[in-house]
Amino acid sequence: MTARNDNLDAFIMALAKGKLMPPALDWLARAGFTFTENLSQSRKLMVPAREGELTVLLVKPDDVPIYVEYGIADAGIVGYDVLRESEADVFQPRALDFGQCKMVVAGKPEDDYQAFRFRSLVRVGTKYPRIAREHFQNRGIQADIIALRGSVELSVTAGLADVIVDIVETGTTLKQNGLVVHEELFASSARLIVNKASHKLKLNFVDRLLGVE
Amino acid sequence: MNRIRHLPPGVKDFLFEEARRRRQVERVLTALLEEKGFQEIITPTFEYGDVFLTAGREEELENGLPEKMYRFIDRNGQFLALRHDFTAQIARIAATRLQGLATPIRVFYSGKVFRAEAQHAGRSREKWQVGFEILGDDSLEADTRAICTLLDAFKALSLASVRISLGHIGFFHGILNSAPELSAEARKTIKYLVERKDVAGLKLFGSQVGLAPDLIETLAQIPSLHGDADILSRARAVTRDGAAHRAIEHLQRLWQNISRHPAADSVFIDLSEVEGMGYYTGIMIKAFAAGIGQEVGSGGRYDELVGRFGRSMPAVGFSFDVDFLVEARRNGNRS
Repeated sequence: MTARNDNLDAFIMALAKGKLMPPALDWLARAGFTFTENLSQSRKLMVPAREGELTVLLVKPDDVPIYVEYGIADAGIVGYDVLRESEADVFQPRALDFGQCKMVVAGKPEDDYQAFRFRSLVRVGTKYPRIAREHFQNRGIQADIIALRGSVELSVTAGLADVIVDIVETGTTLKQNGLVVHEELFASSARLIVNKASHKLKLNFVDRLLGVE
Repeated sequence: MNRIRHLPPGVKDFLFEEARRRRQVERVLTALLEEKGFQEIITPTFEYGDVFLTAGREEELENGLPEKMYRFIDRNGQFLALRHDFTAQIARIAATRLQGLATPIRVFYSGKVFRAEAQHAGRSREKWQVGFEILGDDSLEADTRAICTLLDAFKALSLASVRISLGHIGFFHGILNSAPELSAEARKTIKYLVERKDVAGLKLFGSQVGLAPDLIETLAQIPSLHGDADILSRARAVTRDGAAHRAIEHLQRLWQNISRHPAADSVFIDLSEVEGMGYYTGIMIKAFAAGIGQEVGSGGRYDELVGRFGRSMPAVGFSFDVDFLVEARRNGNRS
């Protein structure tokens, strides 16, 4: 059995280590929760807030929706890109004003992207295989979705893939690798996500988080 | 692959203690239901697939329901399916063998439903449900009795930290009906976004497809319409639709009726709950227990389902998930 989150007076929140952490902590501070240590550098995985009531779980971004869907964490903060890829069955009542980026199809500048629909197969390098598969399926294009863990741009430059599906913030990484955006899929930003049962069982706390500006 | 020493995903063996705990939950629930005047119906494990397709018409339109049915062709070429939904079977029986009986008819069942859920978040493909239905009664009293019965059931199970959310699909449908020009596809997307309480997504979608600004504003308010009876006056202010207002009034009166029950403080109103069987026409109920990350039971009113099988009969029902109840009791959530 897993550790269970069955104390209705305690609230557990999953946060992702990385870029979203500093703005997420600012947001939590506005909700009235602060921490004695610097969580971005902490090696601890479970950290209680100074004010009590709230405990934070520090996990990888991809794992935030998992902890929330299973109800081990009541809520979490995660990028919409990661949330959509996870297909987690959770509530997502708030878009937050940080972590802005775009999901795009990118590739070589010399390629005629519009002509890709005449190809029998398009090879796609990505860290977002579900999003990529759905996108090309909707267009009726047969795609070989190559799931990668990192350095996605390399897949095109090195000749593994024709295009990538990835997030872009400033476009610097694409430029450095000589790639251009062919198509924008959707805009993403951080989301507050809430477990479906926690939303009922700890409604007062959820409402308090939803009230944070 | 060796297929003789392990199970396919989504099904389980329950040994000894785990089996004992399940039988215990089943006994507590069925004993309570018998005491309250419900009679048991045992339905077949498989029957013609059309029964489940008829009950799942909305799901079929939305997602092509058959994907979650375990269906097969028998030796005679007949289309059969494993029990996908008890309520569909009860509706078939209500439209045929229960016709002419004095109403209300109170029935219960205990058994497995089979659904080919995606292999995601440990979902079971075989779920043990105990449930009840009150047939032939469309009154407020029947809804009251359904809710009081499940409150009594949670007490009998000694589950302390339980919350019951009470909604009404007529509220949401009423709001959508004020925009008859919406395509089926747009309605489906709006429902999905409301189900996920995705306010940002609703606003984005609304502006993309050119919804009227006041409709977008109304839809964006739905996800926060939860709380005690006070929320109903707020809900009344967000729409002028007559059907939506009738839904609110129904909940208002239901709330007053339930307030006499000793466990009434575990019930709250949630008009944002629109996820459930497509055949619901009235109240929608979901039950949650501390430590379980999803609903441990659900139900609602379905006044038009039985009619799809030839003879109409209003009804309200609820089903408990035995596995989740066992888990909730194990987690020390005992009063």
